[in-house]
Amino acid sequence: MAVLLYSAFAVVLFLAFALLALTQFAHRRATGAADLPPERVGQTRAVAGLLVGAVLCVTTYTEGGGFGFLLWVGLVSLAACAVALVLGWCPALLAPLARMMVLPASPFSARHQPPGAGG
Amino acid sequence: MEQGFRRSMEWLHTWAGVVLGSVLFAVFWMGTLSVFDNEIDRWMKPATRLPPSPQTLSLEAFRPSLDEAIAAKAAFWNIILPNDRQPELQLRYKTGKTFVSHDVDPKSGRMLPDSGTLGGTGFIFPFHYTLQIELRDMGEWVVGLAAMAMLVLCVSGVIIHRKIFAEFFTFRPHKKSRRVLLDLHNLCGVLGLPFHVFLTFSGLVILGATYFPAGVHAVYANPRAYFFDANNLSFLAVKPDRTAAPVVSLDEAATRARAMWGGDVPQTVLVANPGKASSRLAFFRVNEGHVVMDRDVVAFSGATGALLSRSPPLSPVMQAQRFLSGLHLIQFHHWVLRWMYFVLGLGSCAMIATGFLFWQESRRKKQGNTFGFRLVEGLTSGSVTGIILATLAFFVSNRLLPANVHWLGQGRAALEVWVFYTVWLATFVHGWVWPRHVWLGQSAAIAVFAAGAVLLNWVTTGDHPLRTLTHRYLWPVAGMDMVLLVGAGLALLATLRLARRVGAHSGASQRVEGAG
Amino acid sequence: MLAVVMGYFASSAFFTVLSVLLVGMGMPRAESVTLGIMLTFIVYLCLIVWAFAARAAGQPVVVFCLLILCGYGLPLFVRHGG
Repeated sequence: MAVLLYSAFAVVLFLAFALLALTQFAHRRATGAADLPPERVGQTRAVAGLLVGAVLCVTTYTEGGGFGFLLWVGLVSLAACAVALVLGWCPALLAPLARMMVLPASPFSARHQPPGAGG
Repeated sequence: MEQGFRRSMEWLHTWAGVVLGSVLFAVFWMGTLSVFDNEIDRWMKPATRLPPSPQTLSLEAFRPSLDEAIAAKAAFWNIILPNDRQPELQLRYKTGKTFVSHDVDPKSGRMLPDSGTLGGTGFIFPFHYTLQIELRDMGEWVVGLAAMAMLVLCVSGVIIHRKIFAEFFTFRPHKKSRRVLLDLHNLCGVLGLPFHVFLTFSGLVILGATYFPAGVHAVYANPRAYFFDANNLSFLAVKPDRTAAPVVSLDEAATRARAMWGGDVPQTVLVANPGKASSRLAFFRVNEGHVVMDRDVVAFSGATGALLSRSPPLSPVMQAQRFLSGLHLIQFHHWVLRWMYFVLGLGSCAMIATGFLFWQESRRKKQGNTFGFRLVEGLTSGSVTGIILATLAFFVSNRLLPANVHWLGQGRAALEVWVFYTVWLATFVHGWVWPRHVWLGQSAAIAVFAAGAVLLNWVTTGDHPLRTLTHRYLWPVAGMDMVLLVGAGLALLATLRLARRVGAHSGASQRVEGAG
Repeated sequence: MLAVVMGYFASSAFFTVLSVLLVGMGMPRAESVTLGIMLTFIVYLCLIVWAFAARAAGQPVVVFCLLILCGYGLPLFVRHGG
């Protein structure tokens, strides 16, 4: 149960950082997706920020203040690292997410979970 | 102004890094291992690989050991009770300047044979903050200086990193090696920044009274008084007396302490000045369920059993300090967090190592033959791969040295430490004498040593990975074996890649010579 | 080098002043010293960075000297109890 919960935190944070990274020109080009309109960039960043904040709230709620905070700090570092490594070695993995972000409909109906998001 | 500021920070970053990087790597490496110090103890002291016992003996069962301590005129005597990271019970007392310490099976009360090693808690953890230099706290001061430098490095690193947000996720493994090194350095540095800053700062705060004695002296007569006051240990400050008096029932006092804590059990039982009328009996509460180190102590008079003091609730300032020390000392039990600390610690090590390598790569062409460059080159390999290799040699020697070995007047535990230092020194010499293939040779050696340690553990104790994985109480050993195996695999991979690059280099130079 | 050594003494002096002041203001001794320790490291960090960033060494040196004088002069007037 706990393992599922932690993996869920990690996946959400990974998604959030992937969204953040994919608002940047260099990384979008690496995934081969079309450019984002500027207003979409702002929206995406806001959503990613909300996701990161929400994870902090949930971890402090389930784990208690001290553990929750430390867990969040650690997971943020690791998830961001994972995004950077995926972008470095295999940006194609994030291409579906990048393409979804341009769609006019809600781009964050996270049906897509990028593989390798576990940690 | 902007440009000048950045340049001065660049200078600061480079030189603080080059000068204190080796110390920092040693501190971070040993700190990372200390995250699992109890587990390393399990691996290095096979006698303590015990299945957990549902009920433990009563405290009175250890009265003979207490009597022994009284007879030896011990300054204190204590029991550290088992918990889920440490299956054995530890008895310890101090007479004169020597510590007498025994591991005990909590189920039977049987003394376990002495493992003849300092292990993780006795060598690796103290090395983390003293570098094992005992000369007048020199080690602590060097570590403190390095930690301060680490904070300065973090600040100046952020300032000189021009595009901190634009290159937040940048990692380009296909570019030139110099670029990759810098990317990795930035990645580990920026993404691990909260970890570096928190851990360094909290480490400094824990030893703060050592580093800044002036302020303590301004308010207290001596640092000891501050330590007692801050940790609610003032009951220990008594005048020694010679009147003999027996210690009251340990179990009865323990029951009273537990009632005060709402049923929580003590972690440590301490008897100070045992056997005297002024003796003190103190119980320290377990501290596993939260980050803040509450250090809740209940103290009784050892002779009469009267309650002397109980820790008051923490004030906000103390709470902040205890949170910082708690997050650094990781006494809490939370496996996911513990592994996270380990991985982030390795990230810090990687950051320091890549910083060193980047310094070299960017100077190799221009000043590859100067004395300073050669010096740093040797230092780097010795302090990065060297300390890893030395630690592995420490583990291997732990499994290879026969019990009760004595050589040149040194006991088994001291010999292990000698192996560590000999190998470490040898890696420095290797780096200076044959700088060309030093990385290749040392990463190959790491692979061999790590795999060898796992194999030796199997041969000498019979606990092979399959067995340790299927028995819950052997998981610490399994974890250590797995980390060693993964490390061996990575080192092997690194060796192969380095060998291929060396091959390509010599091939290219041969072709050039042939063309010439 | 100068910045590191003088910065150390300056922040140590700051620590002294702060602890004495806080105790004078009625804070329990253990708390004031602990708070002092935590703040002192931050002050030391800022002093080092500032000293390295300053173009001329004059300004930091003057400030450091003033701090040191204050810090090591104050205990001469205030007696500690205990």
